[in-house]
Amino acid sequence: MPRLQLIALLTATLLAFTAAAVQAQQDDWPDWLNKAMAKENKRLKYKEVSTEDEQYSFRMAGKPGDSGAFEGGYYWESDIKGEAVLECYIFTEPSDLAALASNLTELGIEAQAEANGGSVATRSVAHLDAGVINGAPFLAIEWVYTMGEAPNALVGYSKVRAARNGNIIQACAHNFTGYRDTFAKAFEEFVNSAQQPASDMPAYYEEVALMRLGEQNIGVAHSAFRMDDDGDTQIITQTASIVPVAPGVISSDDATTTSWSTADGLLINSYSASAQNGELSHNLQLRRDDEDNWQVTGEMQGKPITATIDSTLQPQSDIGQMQTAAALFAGEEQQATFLAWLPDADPTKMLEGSITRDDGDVAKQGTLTVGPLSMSARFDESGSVVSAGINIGAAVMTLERIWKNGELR
Amino acid sequence: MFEIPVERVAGDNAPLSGAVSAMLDVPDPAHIGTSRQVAAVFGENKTMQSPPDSRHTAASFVVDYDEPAVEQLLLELRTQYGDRPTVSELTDFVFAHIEDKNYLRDFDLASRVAASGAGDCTEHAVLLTALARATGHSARIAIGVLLLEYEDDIGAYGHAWTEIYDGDSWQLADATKPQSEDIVIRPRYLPMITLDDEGPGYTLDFMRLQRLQPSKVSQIANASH
Repeated sequence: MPRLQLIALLTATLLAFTAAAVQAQQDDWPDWLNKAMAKENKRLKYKEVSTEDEQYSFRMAGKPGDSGAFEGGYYWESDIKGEAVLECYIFTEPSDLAALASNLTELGIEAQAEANGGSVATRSVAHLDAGVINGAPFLAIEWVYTMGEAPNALVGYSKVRAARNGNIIQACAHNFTGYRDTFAKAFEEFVNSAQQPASDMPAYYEEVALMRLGEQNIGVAHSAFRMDDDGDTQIITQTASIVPVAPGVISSDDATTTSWSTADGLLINSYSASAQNGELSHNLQLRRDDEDNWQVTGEMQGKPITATIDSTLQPQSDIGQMQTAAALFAGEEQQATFLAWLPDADPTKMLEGSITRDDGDVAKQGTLTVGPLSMSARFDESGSVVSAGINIGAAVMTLERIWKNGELR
Repeated sequence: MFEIPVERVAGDNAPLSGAVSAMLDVPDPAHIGTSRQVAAVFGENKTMQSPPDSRHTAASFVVDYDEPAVEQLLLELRTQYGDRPTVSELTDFVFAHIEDKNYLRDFDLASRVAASGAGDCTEHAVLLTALARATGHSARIAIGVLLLEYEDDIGAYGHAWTEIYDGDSWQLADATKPQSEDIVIRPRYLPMITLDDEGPGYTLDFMRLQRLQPSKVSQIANASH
């Protein structure tokens, strides 16, 4: 994973001045709530469920209940012995993972508040997590909240997990205190057991990286490399993150970049889109025009962007950046440079990036720099980033590859 | 704005007055755990020194006061305060317009802030800069650290605000109005950069902060000590 694009993306998030450690502290909860939170169902049983057309099937925990279809997906409910049903969904239309997870928690909380005849009075993030289940990157959000006024206030607890698994998003929700491990296991099995139509163009290489802010897992980045008949590679990178920004407030960020690369690492074209809290932030495309100049078209924050970039500037693709890193660490030079198109940093220019060796103590350690921005990174033999870290003021953001499948070509 | 850990000089509980000196721990961006110490002085009206130029009155991609959403807001502003509102009136107007004070926006363009009425310090700074320019002032966006003095405590935060030129010098204008909060005795500022690239590459310009943002503000004392 070369991820200069991720550096720009993550840094933009950090520089927004909004990251905050705002999780509710379980130590402060009353005994009765801690006891309720400790409840689990240790005898989970699973049943096979499938869509009517049998294109998708899964193993669902608990005693099956209601199920059906909605526009763009399907749902199943089951009883896992908590006083609320387990709800699981698949979304077959393209969706943003972080925004979807965030929206599902909001729907759950609203439904609970409505069912209890009141509105939400206070709310705190109880748990945030991110990771990978058998190659499917996931996000987890849990909220604790109160409804109504003291002394009759009720406590609510909502858990949501959502994973991008191949061409679908799978999500489960459980709106009740406790059953946290039960819920996590049920979701893991739901994702692990998924059977779905095979992709027309299977990936020859995939990887998932975990994004951390300090000690907090906040997001995931998934990359898939696919080769066409001409030997060009399509690289799709999708990131999703949830950042707590204030007590009781989270912000979701989703981004997708689809680019094409020649086998020797030259960028052919690229398309990048990002959204914050479900609202489009940018939607930009880079391609060569009939005169071979680079054309940038699209929009940022709703405003049109057009730019022409000199045809002689040839940016490297992710593959090219990896090849550059691999050659640097295999040779005697101290630094290598390359051009990259990083729409999150500046869509109207090709930016020069550099990798400087810093491998005196740690093998294949280097400093990745683009413009005023630097981060440390550790590479593997192929030049892919294994882990990376960036310091911005009091915040430390790290990326770590946590799963890979296949081999880079 | 995110909070930065602070530390006063041990045993020094004297009230702060005027400018305040401090040491900043500034991390090496690419070497986690490594930092250098830099001396700094915070002031109530501390601004960057570079002189105004034609960019500071022009509409730009970020400070897009020529967009319909901002022009609509300008009509409201002029109805309320006339064609040449004072800095104080502009600040009050932006503070009131951004009713939804939240941390859910990264860095919105002025037209987006005008339309949404939502955001944090960056959105306040961008909109104030836009309205100031549109009403004939030279103005720019400043980013740095805000030191808030409370009754029994001090807090430091990454922050953004506006600098407006009064004909002789830059004046600091903060549309988030931290001094309006009861618990705040006095805000003091340390500007680190002004946003020089207000085009579509503004994020890259913003990233200059990476080498300047402190991880800790310590040895806080009256500047005269």
